[in-house]
Parts: sequence; C-alpha cells; structure tokens
Amino acid sequence: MPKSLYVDPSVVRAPGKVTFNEIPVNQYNKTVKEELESGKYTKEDLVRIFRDMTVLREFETMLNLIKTQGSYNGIDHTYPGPAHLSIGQEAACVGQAYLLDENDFAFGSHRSHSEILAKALSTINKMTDEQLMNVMETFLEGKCLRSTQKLGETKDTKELAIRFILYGTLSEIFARETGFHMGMGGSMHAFFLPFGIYPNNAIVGGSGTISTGAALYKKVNNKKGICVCNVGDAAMARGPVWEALNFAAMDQYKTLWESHNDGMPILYNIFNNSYGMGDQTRGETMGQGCMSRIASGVSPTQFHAETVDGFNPLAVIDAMERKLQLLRNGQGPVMLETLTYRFSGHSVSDQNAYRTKEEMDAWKEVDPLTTYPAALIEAGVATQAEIDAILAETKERMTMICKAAADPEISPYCDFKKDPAVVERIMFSNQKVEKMDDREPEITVPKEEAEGYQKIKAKVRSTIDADGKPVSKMKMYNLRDGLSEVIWDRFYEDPTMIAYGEDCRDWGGAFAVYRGMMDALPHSRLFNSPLAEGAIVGTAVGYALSGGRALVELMYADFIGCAGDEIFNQMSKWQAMSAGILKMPLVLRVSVGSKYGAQHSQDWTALCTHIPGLKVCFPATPWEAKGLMETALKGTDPVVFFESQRIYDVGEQFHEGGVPTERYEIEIGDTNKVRDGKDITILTVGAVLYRAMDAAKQLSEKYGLEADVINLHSLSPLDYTKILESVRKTGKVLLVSDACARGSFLNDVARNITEQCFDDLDAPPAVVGAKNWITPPFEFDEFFFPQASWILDTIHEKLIPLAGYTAEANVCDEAEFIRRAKEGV
Amino acid sequence: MANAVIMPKAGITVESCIIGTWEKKVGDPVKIGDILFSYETDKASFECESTAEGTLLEIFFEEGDEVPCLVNVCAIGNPGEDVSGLKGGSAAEAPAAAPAAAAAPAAAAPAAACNTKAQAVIMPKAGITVESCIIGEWLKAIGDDVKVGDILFTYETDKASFECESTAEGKLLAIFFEEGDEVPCMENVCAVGPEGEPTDCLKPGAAPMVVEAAVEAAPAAETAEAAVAAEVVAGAPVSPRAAKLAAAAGIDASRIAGTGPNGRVIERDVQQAIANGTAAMTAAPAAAQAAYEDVKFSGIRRAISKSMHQSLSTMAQLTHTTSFDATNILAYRKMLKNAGDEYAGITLGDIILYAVSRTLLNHPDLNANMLDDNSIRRFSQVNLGVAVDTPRGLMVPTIVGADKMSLLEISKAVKELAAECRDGGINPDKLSGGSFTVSNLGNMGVESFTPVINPPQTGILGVCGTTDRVRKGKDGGIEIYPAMGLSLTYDHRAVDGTPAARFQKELCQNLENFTTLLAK
Repeated sequence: MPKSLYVDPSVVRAPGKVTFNEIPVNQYNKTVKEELESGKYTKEDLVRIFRDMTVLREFETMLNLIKTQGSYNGIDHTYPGPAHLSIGQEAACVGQAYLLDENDFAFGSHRSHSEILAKALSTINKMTDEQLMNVMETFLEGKCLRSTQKLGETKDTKELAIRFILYGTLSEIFARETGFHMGMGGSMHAFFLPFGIYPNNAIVGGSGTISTGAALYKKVNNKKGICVCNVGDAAMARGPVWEALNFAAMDQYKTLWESHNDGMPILYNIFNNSYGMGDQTRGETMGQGCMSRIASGVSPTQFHAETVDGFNPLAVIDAMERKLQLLRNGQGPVMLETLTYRFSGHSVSDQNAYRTKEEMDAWKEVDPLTTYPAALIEAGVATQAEIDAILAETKERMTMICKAAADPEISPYCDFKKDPAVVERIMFSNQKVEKMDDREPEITVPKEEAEGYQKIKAKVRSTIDADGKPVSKMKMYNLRDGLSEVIWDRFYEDPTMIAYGEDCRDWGGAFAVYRGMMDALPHSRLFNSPLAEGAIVGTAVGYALSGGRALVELMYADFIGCAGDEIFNQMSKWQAMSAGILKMPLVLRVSVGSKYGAQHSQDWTALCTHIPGLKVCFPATPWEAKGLMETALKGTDPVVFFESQRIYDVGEQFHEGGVPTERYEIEIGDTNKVRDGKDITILTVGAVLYRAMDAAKQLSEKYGLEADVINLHSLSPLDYTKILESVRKTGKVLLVSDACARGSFLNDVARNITEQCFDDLDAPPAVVGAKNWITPPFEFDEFFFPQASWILDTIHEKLIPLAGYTAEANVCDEAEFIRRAKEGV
Repeated sequence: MANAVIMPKAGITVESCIIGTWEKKVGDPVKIGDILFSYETDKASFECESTAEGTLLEIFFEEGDEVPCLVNVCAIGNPGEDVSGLKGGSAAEAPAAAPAAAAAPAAAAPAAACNTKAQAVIMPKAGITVESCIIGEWLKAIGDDVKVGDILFTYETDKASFECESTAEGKLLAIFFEEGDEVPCMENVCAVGPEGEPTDCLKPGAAPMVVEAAVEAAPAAETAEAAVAAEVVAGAPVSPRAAKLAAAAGIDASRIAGTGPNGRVIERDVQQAIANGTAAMTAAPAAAQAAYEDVKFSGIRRAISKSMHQSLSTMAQLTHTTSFDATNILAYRKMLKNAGDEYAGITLGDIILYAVSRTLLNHPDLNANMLDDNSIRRFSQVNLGVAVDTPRGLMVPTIVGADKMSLLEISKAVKELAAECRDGGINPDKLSGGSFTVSNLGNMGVESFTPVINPPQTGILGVCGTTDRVRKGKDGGIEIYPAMGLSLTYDHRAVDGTPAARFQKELCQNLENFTTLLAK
C-alpha cells in the first residue's frame, strides 16, 4: 500500500488489450561445423562436452545396474535407497552447465544427479588447479580428498577433481561418512557448495522458492553470479513454484526499491521430459502445451522465455548464453524450457506401463550420446577411436569410483553404535553470529534519529512507574516493543538482515512490530511480500542457506498450513541433511490470533515442536520477548517465533525492575518462573499465563495453596531441569495452553514429567487446553479457551480437592471423556 | 446546537489515543469530512474527519494529550454557542446508564432463590479461633418436633464440648451431618420447619434453588463431600507420592482416609496421619474383628494426639530429674489444713505452682514460647498452664498472671479451671496462652517421668511423688527426710542444660525454704 503509487481509476478502467510476445521454440539450427568455424568453440571444448555427457550417462547406468542387478562391472553392492534416474537428459544438463561457474548457484530436484555432475565438471574446467586443490583440501578438512587420493595418482589436478566429485557424490548416495554430507542427504539431496551446486530437493518443486530466495540474497547483498532453479515439467503444477515465479516478478523491484532494483538474477529452467512419475504432463495432467508459456501469466516480460531442444547440447548452450546475458543486464528473471526425454523409468521399479516401446525407441534413435559424437566425427572434430577412448576412460574411472564407494574399508558408514549422537550433533548449529557479512548495513536514518526507535527507548519499561503508579498503556513498554527494539538493533548491526512478509513495511506489520522502521530502512531490507506464505518461508530458507539473515512473518499462525512444506521440510531439515554445512539463520514470526474465528485463532505450536530441526518459542512477557528475539536473531538455527495477539500490549509484570534497557539474551530452552509456591506447579504456554496467574491468586487467597507458576517461553528445545525440580517439590502439576487439548505439546511435557517424576507425583499431571472444536466466534471465547475457572476446576477434580470449592462443569468424568474421544470432539 | 467530535475507537482493544497535530484551530470553518486532527495508537496513526459542520468552537484536548476513545475532543457549531456541556462528555455515557439500571434486580435474586419456609440451624462458632466442630450426638431425630431452645445435638471442639439449641420451631426435616462429622462453623447442620418444606437449598454447597436447581444440586453435593470426606476405604488408590511418604514414615497407607480425587490417598492425607500420631500404623488381622473395637478419637483426643506428636517430633526435648527436701512445705501444708476455711483446700500442688510462679521470671527462657526455629517470645508475667485430667482427656487451662497472685488465689483459680474443664464447659480461649506448664502425677505415686512440652512453650515441670530418703545428718548419723521429685523437660533449642539446672536448683531452694519465699 505505498502512497507513492497512485492507483488511478482513469488508467485502471481505460479500455485496451493485453498482448503477448511470441515464444521461440526449438529455433536453434546450427551444425557442429558451423559452430566450430564461428570460433565459439575449440575442438577440445566440443569433445569435452561429449566427455561430460558420457560421465553423466555412465554414472546413472552404474546406479541402475547396482539397483537392478546388485552389480556393476564385477562390483557387487546392495544399495537400498532411492535412485531417480535421468538417463537421456545428459545433453540438457551439460548444455545448461557449460557457461556456469562456481559463483552461480544451481538448485535441483530429486532427479538431479546429472545436473550436479554437469555443473561440477563445468566448474572444474573453469577453476585453476590451485583453486581446485584449495577446495578439496578444505572441504570437510580434506576427508573426501584423502579417500579419493587412495584411488591412485592422477595425470592432473582436474582429473583428481573429477574423481573427487564422482566419489563424493556416490559415497553420499551410498550413505557413507565419506560422502559430501556424511551420507545424511543421499541421492535426492546431494550437493556441493564450493562448486555452486546447491541443494536438490526430494519435494517436487521444492527448489522453486528456495532458489528464488538465494537469488534475493545475491540481489540484496550484491553477490556475484546468478541462480538456476531446475524443476521438472510436473513441478510446474505446484503452487509454491508459481508463488516463487510471482515473487521473482514483483513490480516493486523496479517501482519502489531505491537500490538493488535490477531484476531478480534467476533462471527458471524446466527440464521437460513429458512425464511426472508416470503421468504425462503433455496431453494429460497439465494444459499449457508448452511450459515456456507459463511465465506469460506472471510478468509482461514473459521472463524472456523460450523452449529449446535439450537433446542438442549446443542448442542449450546457445539459449543459456542469451539468458545469462539478460540476467547480467539486470533483466531477470528468465525462463527456459529444456525439452528432453528420460529413457530410464522414474525409479528402478518403473515398468513403463504408461508409454510404448515404440515411443521410447523413437527417442533412443535421437539419443544425444550417439547423435552428438556422430556429429563430432562428421565435422572432423574427433575420430571414432577418440570417441571410443573417451567412453573407455569414463567406464574405467566409474568402475574405480564405484569400487571405492562400495568398499566399507575406504568408505565407511557412520557408526551409529559407537557414536549414537552422530545425527544429534548436526541437528542444530547453535552458533551466535553478530553479522553474517562484514560491511556497513544499508540504512537511511541513523539510529539516534530514528523516531520509531527513540519512541520505544522513551517508554516506561514496567507496569508501574517510579512513583508506584500504574503506567498508561500508551507510555508503557509492551511485548511488541520488546520484539521491535531488538529488530531495530539487529537491522543496524547485521548488513544481511532483511525482513518481509505481508504488509510489513507501510503498515508496519499487521500488529505494528515493524512500525516506523520503513523510515530508516531501504525497501531491499524491509518490504511487503506477496500474499504467498509458501514463497515467504521458502525464499527465506533460500536466503538463509545462502548466507543471509532472514526475519519473515506469517500474519496468523493458521497460515502455517499454507507454508507447510517450507516450514516442515525445508526450514527444518537442511542443516542436518547437509551434515552441518548449511546454516539456517531464519526467524519465522507467527502470530496466534483471537477474535477472528476458526481459521485465525489457532495455537499450532504442537505442529512445529513435532518437527525435528526447528526451534520453537512463544514469549508471553515483554522481558521474554526481548531476550528471546535477541537470541533468535543472533543464532544460526531456524526459529518459529510464536506471538499472541492477545498480549502484544502487556507490560512487564514479573521481571524485577521491568525490561532492562540494555541488551540481554534468553536461551531458547530456558523456562521463566513467574511465581513461587510450594503446593502446586502450573506450567503455561502463551497468553494463558495471565489467566493462570489469576487462578494462582485465587488458590492463594481462597484455598491457602501457593502455586509455582512457570512459563514455558521455549518449547523446543526445552530444559526440563526447573520443571522437574518444581514438580518434585509440589507433587502436583497442571499444564495449560490455548492450543486444542488433543495433540497439544503439553501432553508431551506431561508424559515426560510422569516418566521422570512418577514416584513424586501426588496425582497424574493434568493438561488443560482449548476444546477440540473449531474456534467459535469471539463472543464465546470463554467456552472454548481455558479460563481461570477451568484451571481451578481441574485442580479440584484431578489434583487436590479444594475445601469448600464447587466445580463448574469444566472437567469431565470417564464416561464423558470416552464419549468425547469416541466422537472425536 | 453545537456538536461534539469524539475520539474514534481505532480498534476493539484500543482504549485511548494520543492527539498528534491539530489541523484546524478554534474559529476555523469546518465541513464534514475535513480533517480536524491526527491521532495515534501504539500501532498506527490516523486522521480524524469532522462529523459536523460549522465553526470549530472549542478544543478540549491539546496535541500530545491521551484521550479515552469516544470522549469528546472538540465542539463544532455556530459562533457564540455555549459548548460547556460538551466538555468532558462522552459518546459512551448514554448507553452506559442502561446496564447499571439492569443490575439492580439481579442483586436481589439470590435471596429469593431459596424458596422454602424451612430454616437452617448452623454450627455455632465456639470461640474466636475455632473454625470447625465435631458433632457429638444427635438428640433429635428426623421427624421429631422441635421448639426454640430444644437441644438438637452436642458438639465439641478440640478443647471443650457444647450443646446446640434450636433456633427454629417445627419438625426436624433434614440432618446434613452425622455424628462424628467435622463441620465448619456457621455451616448449616440441619433444617427445621413445617413438614413437607424443601430443604435441599439449605444443604451445604447446594446451588440456590431455582427451577433447574434439583439437577445441579446432586453433583455439587458430591463435590462438597469429596472435599471433606475422610473415610478409610479398603483398596482406595494411593498416589505414588503419598505411598513414598507413608513408607518413609512407616505408615500403612491403606489405613489412611483419602481426600484426593476418587478417594485417592494423597500426600496431605499422609501428612495428616503423621501429625495425628499415626493411628493407622497398627494393622490388625482382618479375621479377628470381634477382638477389638475401633474408636474414633474425640476432638480433644485428636488435639492431644496432634499436639503431643508435634511436640516430640519438632523439639529437642530433654529432662532433668531432681528432688528436694519437702519437710518445709509438708509442715506448711499441715498448718494451712489446720487453719480451716478456704485455706484448708490449698494443696501441695498449689504450693509448687506458687513457687514456680515466683522462680520463673528469673529464668526468662523457660517462661517463653518458641516462635520459630530462630526466635522465642519471653513473657513478662507468668501464665501458668496446669495439666488437668478430664473424662475426655488431658486439658491444660492457663492461670494468667500467676506471678502476681497469692497462694490462695492460685489455689482457687486452679480449682475453678479444673472444674470447668471436667464439665467440658470451659471457654476455649482459657486453654491457650500459657508460658510454662506444670503437670502433677505425684498423687499417683509416680517417682520420675518425662513430661512432654506443651507447644509452643519451652518447658514443663513434672511433679512426682514424695518418698522417704536417707542422708547423712549434721551429727554424722543417718537421718530420714521426705524427698519430692521434680522432672523438668525443656526445649534444648531455647535453653541449655546448665541454665535449666539453675532454674531447678533455685526452685528447690525456694520450696525447701517456702515460708521464707512467702515472706518475699
């Protein structure tokens, strides 16, 4: 909603028509000879293109044999994992990679062995021997290199590097400790950052948003190179991919951004082999006919899209050259549809029931692995003997690599028996980094003059002032200020830090956490995103794993569902799947709503705590909010940062002296005891803290019971020390949050308490949550969300009967419990 | 007529806004839709458009002022109009009046809700500190005619027993508590009134009797029962925590009454059992039911049990036993007896009480109460507790200010208090406040014993019997004299051995030279 962009009704309503440019399809028509004569390629270049294609073909042929026959060239090996092969697509991959170097980031799919190897071979060819040795010696402290060197001397460093990349990739696929990521990524997640090979993704289209975020990183931080998003044709049906295209096409880069206003440096490349798994996209499951048509629906530039014949490597290189030129001129994003065909099945169990032998034979007739060398011979670039020698050399090398990767002596598995914590150590990076890049942050107003920041600084940081009088709501430092203050500070410290989400800039965020920041930050650091949660989180994942710090927001926690894959599969998993090579300095703010009914009021902490690899916190006081945000925005781990719309306005009632003016960190995992008592423990999550404190007050005043109230501002990780200590003291524990009771995270806490403190318990832990219903309208809040009376009723009925207390109907007996559970309500 | 422009409500949770800048000044012409001023919440800032037309007549709040939502901010109208009525006004005023009026009849509702002619008789409050009493015996049965003043039931505190007279007339319609039940003071115990009148709404814990009340009353009563029920139930569940505590205390948890959910024995029940002196410890063989009788403790027994156990489990008690030559007091006692009248009633015990009252003030740590582990309260007068044996058990009334009373006054006070204790009619307030206690078992032939301190006092003197002893006489020969034993138990937390012995020594000297003491 920028005021500078006038939405003029006379323009908007004026008659006219939308026009489209023609999209070129398979327009390349040069012969090898013509290319040679034009001087674009040397003979060596043309031969090397063939050599690279043979390496790719042999690698997947080997995998296919290992999978189907358990043997390759006399090497027996059983490999139970996935092998999604792309035999037939080699020319497309080699063509794409030919002009790319280590500064260009390529992202792929679950069928990306050839993309990885082609990008590696191209990069090896461009790097100096010294650079190559440096990469190999420093990567995982030379562990992969030493295993490669055991295979014997090589004629040169490039050959060593080729063996290195083949060995590292194959041992990664074979789940060996000597793989690029200790075998934790495997076939569908193999990559190698020093060569600009970025994560491939087992989620179809998963790279759509991530690669776009990486491009955002390059754009905002002036980094060299472009990004390539490789997806298959079937992935173009997925929403997040469309969200990514739209994110890359936003007008604001041109209309609003004061700097970094070039087009997004990204190439969306669709390897169109006509099939998903067995579904045919062309003619059956999709309707575009030509995938390159898609960008016409996203941007007037149509992403300069074209369709190119991926069975001819030179045609692909020709197209890539033009696309790269556009990107380097700031005219991105661009799109390429690379037509190809997969001879292999989707996986080795594929019976090819969905296509005819006739069709497959027809494509084999034009297999680039036979047509391209024939063209080389015809153009006098190579002889048949030279072609045969390359084939032989490739096979010999592959045999050597396969033997080494299959050999547990050379390529051991991670020993889970000796070291059961091997994966535990790579789940989180647990680092503290003040700035992710060493340069001055871009800001437009110094901190001292930033009005919004100074307003926060001027507030009274407690609920009562120096004279003991209550502070008015307007002057009181509240939970929102706790968040804002830290975000302001971090914007002035970390040059890579950016924040975006729906309505973050002009509106200041739907709940005003970014209020006033637009006056001090350029658009490139704080901007409004499209209403596309998948793209918000997915691009942030890409931004963070590329080396930047991202703070993004989903307006309501309920929208987690719209970004399910991005949060649960991408944000959470890349640190461990890369064996710690990638970092994920990403904080995702989500706000638990109220008043807005069933799709805007849910506490979904349980969904996030269930997923390994995420840190989850939920501050309920300003002191907690400030300390946790400080930690989250210095860390290198993904944090889902829950907030509650009920309590953005609360002041600090518990921390002695109010919220400190100085900086401080609260470890994610700590707990906050807000009340001391000896009789009963009450554990709270979120805004219910204040209702629990009301109950604690009544317990003390009317029933002589003193409650120990501990707020769990962190859910995962969680240090149970103080919780168990309290429960052992009191013997009674009630856990309460606004999440629906069934499947609430607190059930997990209750179970763990029961296990650890069983002999100290005077009653089973009681969990109080919202009803297992939709959230009814706000007018019925008290019937749905836990109230102080529910807490007292539960204590009376389940933990310790209170003398003279009469319970309302908030606790059910066994028959009622069974009925509700049976009916699922 | 001039119109007010109010501070808009910029969101349901917004209670007030701050005025940013005034775009119009007093005297400016204003049209509807003109921006009058900007205002901000902590989340956003807004512009306020005029809702009236005319001249801006007066501005009630300045820039930077915080204004509650819906309160009049300025007045717009024709020049010269009086706007004083709009100042401080609010759009919320008119509707606010309605709920206030509606609230009035609601307050009367509870009174009208219990629609019965029956009246409840409550458990009287038998002393300021008394919170509950135990019902002893019902003297009327349901259906009996009752007049005002008729005795309905007896009840007892831990210190005394009483009779409850009816405060209503009619038939005894309902009894809410049985014999042996502990009832909070002021709680309804029974209902008296015309036959056939409903009584459910008088039942403790019942919901006010409105139409649906009958349905609601049942679970409510159940709950109330759960909160106070304390019966031993065979096979009742025991919480792990309670089981652990019972095992540590050597108590059989299955013989403890559970007050937890579903009758579960929980920690507090075991703690109660420990405090009560572990009645549950002895497990009797189940088959031999005829061989014993289980007797529920009376209130006094329970209090003794609790107090004595607490005394021994919380203090560092030890006892010194000495004796003194009783020749002098025996002679003096004989003299008094011969004197006749009220003097004849003065006993050896009274003489010892007198001597104690005159000796204690020199030993302030023994004339004291422990406040906690770290402090004691020393009394400036002697409030002497006297152990009295009664049919209901041991009672200890207090002679307040014994140090200022004559021997005769002490003697009379003891007799009066003891009599009140034995009839059970003593005011409970006379059973507390002692600074030291004397317990006399001398007439039972006890030669030496370890009296148990009456908490929170720091000492107790046990008076033993008199025995003849021999000693070396002045002429070197053997002489026989009456020796009376004195056993002093003291709390070593407050008093050390030597000072305790010093007290005993001075007491013995005073008793051996009693007539001299009287002269002081």
